[in-house]
Amino acid sequence: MGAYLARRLLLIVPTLFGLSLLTFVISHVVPADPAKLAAGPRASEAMVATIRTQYGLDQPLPRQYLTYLGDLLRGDLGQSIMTRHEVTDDLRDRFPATLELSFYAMLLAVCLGVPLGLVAALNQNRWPDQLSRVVAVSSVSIPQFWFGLALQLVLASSLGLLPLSQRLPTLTRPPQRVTGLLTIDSLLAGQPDVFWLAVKHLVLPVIVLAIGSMAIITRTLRGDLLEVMNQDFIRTARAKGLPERRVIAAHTLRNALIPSLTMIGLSIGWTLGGTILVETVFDWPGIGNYAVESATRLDFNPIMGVTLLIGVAIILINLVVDLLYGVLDPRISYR
Amino acid sequence: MATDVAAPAASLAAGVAPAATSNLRRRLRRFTRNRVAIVGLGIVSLLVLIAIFAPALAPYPDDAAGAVHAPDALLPPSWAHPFGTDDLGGDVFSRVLIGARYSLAVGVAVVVLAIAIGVPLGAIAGYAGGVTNEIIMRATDIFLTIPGIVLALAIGSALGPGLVNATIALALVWWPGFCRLTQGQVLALREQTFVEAARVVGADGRRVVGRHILPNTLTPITVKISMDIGFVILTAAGLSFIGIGAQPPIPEWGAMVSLGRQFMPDWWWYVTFPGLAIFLAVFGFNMVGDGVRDALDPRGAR
Repeated sequence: MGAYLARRLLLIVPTLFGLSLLTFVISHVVPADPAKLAAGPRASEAMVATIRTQYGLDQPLPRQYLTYLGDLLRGDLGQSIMTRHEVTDDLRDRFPATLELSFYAMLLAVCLGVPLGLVAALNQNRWPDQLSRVVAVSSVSIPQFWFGLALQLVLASSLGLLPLSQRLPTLTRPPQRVTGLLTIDSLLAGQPDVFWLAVKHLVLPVIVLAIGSMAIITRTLRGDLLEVMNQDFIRTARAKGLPERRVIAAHTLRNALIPSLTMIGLSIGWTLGGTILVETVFDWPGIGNYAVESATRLDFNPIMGVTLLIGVAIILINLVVDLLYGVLDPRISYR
Repeated sequence: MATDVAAPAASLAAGVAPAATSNLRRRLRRFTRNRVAIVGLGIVSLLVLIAIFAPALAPYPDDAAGAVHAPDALLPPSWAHPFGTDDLGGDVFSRVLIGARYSLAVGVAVVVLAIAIGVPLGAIAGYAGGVTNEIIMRATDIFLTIPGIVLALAIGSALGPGLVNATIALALVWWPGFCRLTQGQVLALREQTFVEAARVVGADGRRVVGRHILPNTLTPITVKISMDIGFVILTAAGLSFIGIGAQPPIPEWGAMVSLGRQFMPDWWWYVTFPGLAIFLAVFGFNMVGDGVRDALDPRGAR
């Protein structure tokens, strides 16, 4: 296991390298004038020229890439024109908000998706299955940003059941920062009222972010379950007189969950991508919102920072999913 | 000489043809029996008709270009304005109808461009193998690591906002899916007996790939096209919503929702109808995609 982990970690290096090459091309080769883009829309000609020499944008591209890579390795993602902070600091401030949102969204997606997939598979081609199909296709077809606005309109503005946006009411002081996750920090600080407020603010964005992944998990698990159900060892389990509930829980579900795990891993990436739109709608102070606000101001460094951060996060998640396979499936040995 | 040797292979292909036709008929029947897919096809057909005839259908076609009628601003839905009016007094119904053109055009353009980049690259990687395959496929993997909307946001802002740039950005995001699909298919087909036979009779690499391998990848590529158009439309609308795609006064649905957001909750119709249009269009395409997959992909037809 240790040797496998080491090899798997080593394999990440070229991937990270490729990711840096991709973001380099987007930031240095795609734009007509990268210096102008880095200086921002309101910069004068002189400022653009200064930035061009200061950042070495007049150098040959391979040398520019080496400089860029060196900056990345030192954690230097440049400055944000909008906030006037280092992008790295901004990301550190905002990432917990995105993490909290994505975590609860994934939790909801798995907790709803697995039972729904099970119901669909056990009732193949009957009405619960058809209903789950229509719900699944609707869930991946609905524009997240519009669904979010609709929920705000009905549940927040009209009925006043839930807060409209943000992580906490404006006048509530956030608990002392330990993890940056308000639901944890508020409990650590012994403030159950703040915890409750944070939960209420999470409800709508979490629902909007979760439905797409939920649908994908439901449909994938249904397919995998049906495939496993036709296998000989399930017939054997039934033939030796196991109760049906045990056949499903211990034999079918466990074996179907293994291939579905890949899809759950992939949908974490989806969820992180979805934060771009969901955070914009709910004014959620995370990295998705940060990227969008920067994009509307043509502030380029933060966008590249967010792209890199999400890329790295997904690469690490894929690693964890690979390792989880071994835990769930004893047939896979890490040698 | 070369044509002489290729002749038996050609007659072999001709002998297969009748079976292929009845296969197509069976797939078509499987598709038409799927009620959900037929509903999807109905929605998509309606959308295409609306896109073609929008200027004639729209009661106020000038409003699509952002004509200002200040006294009519923000009127609720009525017989004169079924979807209400926007802040400039524009008829939301007319703008939604004409907006169908932009969504469809972007959806089709992105998929066509993505195929033009991805399929040749995938075919080269799969057929050449070795280092070429490694380089192309590792690059593909890296593109696929980053969620589509994030990468499109990055490329789109590097290119600058606008509908054409957003289309280019989306195509650059979408090609890796087609590349990986084609590569996998070519890799599997390369070892088949009929491909070996073509090689033995002296067909060169380009002919083997172009005449013998690629035609056999058409089915999975068709399935992917039908599954992807809806998602392209959805992502393009998202880009416009965050300001990277279509710019006002273009009546693109995502851009309209973005404008209407400032007039929530009192002027609810402004965000509601353009968003509903996105949902219906994507839903229709996804239902068709689901049906096409079930009809063409034997594994999916459980």
